[in-house]
Amino acid sequence: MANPLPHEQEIYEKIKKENITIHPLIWELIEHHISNDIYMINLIIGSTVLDGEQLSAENAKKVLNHCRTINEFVEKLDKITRPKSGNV
Amino acid sequence: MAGKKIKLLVVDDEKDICNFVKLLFKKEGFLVYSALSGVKAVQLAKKVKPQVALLDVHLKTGITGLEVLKQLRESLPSCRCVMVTWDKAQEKIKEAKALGAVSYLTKPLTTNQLIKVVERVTKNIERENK
Repeated sequence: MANPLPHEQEIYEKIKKENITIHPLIWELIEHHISNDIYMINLIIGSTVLDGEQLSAENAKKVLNHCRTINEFVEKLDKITRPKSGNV
Repeated sequence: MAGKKIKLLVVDDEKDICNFVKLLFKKEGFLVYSALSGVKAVQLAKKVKPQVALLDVHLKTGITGLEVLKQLRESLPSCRCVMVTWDKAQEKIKEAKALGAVSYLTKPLTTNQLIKVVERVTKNIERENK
């Protein structure tokens, strides 16, 4: 798990205070793509490793594929949504 | 789980989801069936008469998960339907509940959450059957 950013709490507070929201269309994409991939990763790991079995190479590849898909989606979303002037 | 095995029907258009959910619940002692489309789900349900169904709301082809829910409630009223989806739209949740879904789960779910919900539903079935 990534360490929190040094100013992460401030970011959340700013988002809340300034009522910064994500457009529902973007939420729809996030929920559809990322939720499905995370769900699949949970299922693959949960249905094997949790009861003591080892993850097969085939299933490990499936997990990697879902991680790659998440990455590709985030890159695609970044490309079309990030303000041209850089970070806020 | 004691006694007769509970029959669970998994409906999802993603083969991997069907396979892993099947594997997960077989290990939990269920008799698991799966269908990759709504039409096949309804046909299979009439044949095997599951007590619980896990239905994906957004099926890519044919009838939707909500339509499957509607048909299952009509043809197999004793079957408890749990909806599983990424879609958090309130109108979908209301529609599913109005059609008789016992639960509406949104992805991403952990396997523990999924098992807990299905176990809660099956406990209710067992309690009612006593």
